[in-house]
Amino acid sequence: MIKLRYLALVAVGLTATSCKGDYLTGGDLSNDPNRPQVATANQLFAGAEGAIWALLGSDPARVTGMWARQFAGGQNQYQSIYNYLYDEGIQSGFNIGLYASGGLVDIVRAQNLAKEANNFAMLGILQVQEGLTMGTGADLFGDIVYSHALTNEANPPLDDQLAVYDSVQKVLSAAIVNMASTAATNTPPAASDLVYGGDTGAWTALAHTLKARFYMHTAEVRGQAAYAAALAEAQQGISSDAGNYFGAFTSNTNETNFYYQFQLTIGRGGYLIPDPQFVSLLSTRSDPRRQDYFNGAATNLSGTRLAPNYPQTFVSYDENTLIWAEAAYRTGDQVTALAKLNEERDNHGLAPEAVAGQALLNEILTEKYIADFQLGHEAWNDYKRTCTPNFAPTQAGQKMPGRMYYDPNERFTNTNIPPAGQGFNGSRNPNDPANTVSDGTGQACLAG
Amino acid sequence: MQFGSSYGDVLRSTIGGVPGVTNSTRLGNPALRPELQKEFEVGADLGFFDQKVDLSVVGYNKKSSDVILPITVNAAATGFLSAFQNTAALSNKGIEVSFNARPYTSQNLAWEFGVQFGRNRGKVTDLGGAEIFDLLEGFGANEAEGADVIGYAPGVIIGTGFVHCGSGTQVAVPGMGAAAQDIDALCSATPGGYKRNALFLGPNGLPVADPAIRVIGDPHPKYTMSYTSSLKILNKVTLSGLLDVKKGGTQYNGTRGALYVFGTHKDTDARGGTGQYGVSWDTKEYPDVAGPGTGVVGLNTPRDWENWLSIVGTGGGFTGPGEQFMEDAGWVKLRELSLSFNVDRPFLKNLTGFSSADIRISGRNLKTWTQYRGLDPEVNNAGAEYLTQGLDWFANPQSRSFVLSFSLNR
Repeated sequence: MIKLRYLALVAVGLTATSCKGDYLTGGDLSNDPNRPQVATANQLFAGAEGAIWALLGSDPARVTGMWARQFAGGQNQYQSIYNYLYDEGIQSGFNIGLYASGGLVDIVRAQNLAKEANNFAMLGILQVQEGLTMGTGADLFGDIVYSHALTNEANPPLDDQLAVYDSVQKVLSAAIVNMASTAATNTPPAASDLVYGGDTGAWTALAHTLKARFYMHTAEVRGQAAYAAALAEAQQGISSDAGNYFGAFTSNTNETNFYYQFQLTIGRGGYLIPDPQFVSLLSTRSDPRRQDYFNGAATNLSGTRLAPNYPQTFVSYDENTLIWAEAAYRTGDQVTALAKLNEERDNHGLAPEAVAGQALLNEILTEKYIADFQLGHEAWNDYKRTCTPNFAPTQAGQKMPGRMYYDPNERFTNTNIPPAGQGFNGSRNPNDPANTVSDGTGQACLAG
Repeated sequence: MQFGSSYGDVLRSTIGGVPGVTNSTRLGNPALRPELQKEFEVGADLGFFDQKVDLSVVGYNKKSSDVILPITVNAAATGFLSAFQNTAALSNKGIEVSFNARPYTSQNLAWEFGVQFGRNRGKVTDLGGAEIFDLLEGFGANEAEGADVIGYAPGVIIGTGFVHCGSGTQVAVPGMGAAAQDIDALCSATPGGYKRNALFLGPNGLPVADPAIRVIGDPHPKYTMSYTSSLKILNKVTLSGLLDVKKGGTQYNGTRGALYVFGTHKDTDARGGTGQYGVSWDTKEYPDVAGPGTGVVGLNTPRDWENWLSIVGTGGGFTGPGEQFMEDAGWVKLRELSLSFNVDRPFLKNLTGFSSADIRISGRNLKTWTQYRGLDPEVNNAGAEYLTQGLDWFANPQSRSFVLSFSLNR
């Protein structure tokens, strides 16, 4: 009797469901049971960290490292790219990566969660992620969709490269304000933050260094104002190696350093080799980083840098110190410029220098070129701006590429993007003029 | 979710035991409707002269709309890479004709022949706002890959090509500084002007790669035909043949591209001499040239050839544009020829107890007439499950076979 009653209930239940006529929707039919429907701000933050480390450590960094002639293309596609032969595939998925999975869409979602929870510390940290992602996007692609991003607009307009840098400055300023909040509801990511453990002080210093970095990227056009702004930010930036921002790679499968994977595990050994002109620069200067960077025969990276869990630095104390030095020099303070140059040299056990005038600027820029090795795309960014050290292009008569083409799928779905090779989708962004002379030496610029 | 590049290096989002979660790359759609298909078909089956001649004609116009595809969406605007939508639309129009005749039939002689003709025109008319839907079938969009493209039949081949005159392209040209050049203006400055779609040559006499991915070929034929004929003499001897024709359609000869790079293709014998675009090199693909390099011999020394055809150059496979290896893959094939005898003499029965015997000799794929420079224009790297045809990458040609058969009938 009891069984029968249940059966009747089931029958009623079935009838009720089928009466609605939409038993193909709802529940696990509409939502994939194998995928989570909601995510916490911490989980989204961790996902975005991975995307940022890939943007700064995977293919774009290898390519810009070759264009900056710190690496050379040893074979196959890399040999072509090193010789400025590339097509729309050059961005290797990292243009859409700015927005999709782990990009802006997740960072903004996490920011909204943090806002709802009045978690300003978290919000600030997520804003630093946003600034780093979109600023790097402007470095790589020039004009990008930013103010109209994630609006679902058809054919979203692109922001001018300089406008993107301005927006990045705004979001980083907001980040600094939010991270200074003392609200009781603040819960920074802590254990989810493999770099700083949720230390808002460290994230704030990073935000200042990033502001300094991106001000420098506008200095070629905006001159003194940009140098002064960069100087003010560098003074509050990363103040020791302990404050470096890095990729916390592990030895677990699919969590290892990109260079280790590329050189050793995915069969691309020989594609990427040290550029002889860079090795020779290090050797000529008897720079101890020659051993840190490359193996004895200069055929590959050093063992340390090829370790699977090598914590590769993406924003550093050295970079901050040398931005400080250059910005001081450019704004007329050679005393501070020299002091900061020597502070950086001391950090690598190098004897202090006593140079002045353009020789000092040349030393600062050359030192920065060396210190920027494997630091995301900074060696390439600096060369675009200063043409120092004045290395030759790999193809006589041509210029080092100054940007990557957009993803063709972005172009096919947005009429505002011209075909590769045309307009602002060329090899150099219009906001980023080519150099006629090398800032360091005053001689004619060879490759940029 | 994993992050990384097309070279295979990956970083997953959960690192060091810290769970990382990211947005799905494909947007679902709970409001999908069934796809719609409308077809209009007209046909006639006609018989004449006491059924000695029959003709069958079918014309069709098929329109598919609300086709469900994971349409490529703008990542910057949406945060997704693709979305399932009911938006794709395509049409197929075509005609099929079959004609058979038995002009002579008697006790001692019977002859019949037939002609089949088919042509189809496919066209993608809507991809939900996107211009191209990459089918991801092929060798990467820089070389040659299948795609659906607005205004073309489904399954055309996209890739990169050389810069052509009259295309409005502006790119930097080696030997002319780092600034982008107005290609059409340079073409117009050529003495004598230029022919439509002529290949642009830089001052060094060599073409320039266009970085933009576009449609580089359409494997679909203009039409296909087949001819059959059979002749029966004295009810004993039968001679029959089948001729197949495919007119038009291009195919990516990736084999040639790869062998250029390795220096093992017959064409690369040219490295002992000189090569000039428009005159002595690649003249089949590029009969017309224009631009400052007109009349310039681009390839002079073995080193020039190596730099141009190998992996650091633009004239070979892997790194060179796929367009230069798109070839006309039309063909005429003598598909089958057979001759058979029937023996039913009394002596056979007396000797063996069998009433009759058939002896048949036949050959398949006996001869191919084609412009295609690979082994066989009728190959496809991809299997039948692929939508994309016209990709040849070291594919095995169709086999030629000869069959000699005896059959005994009791």
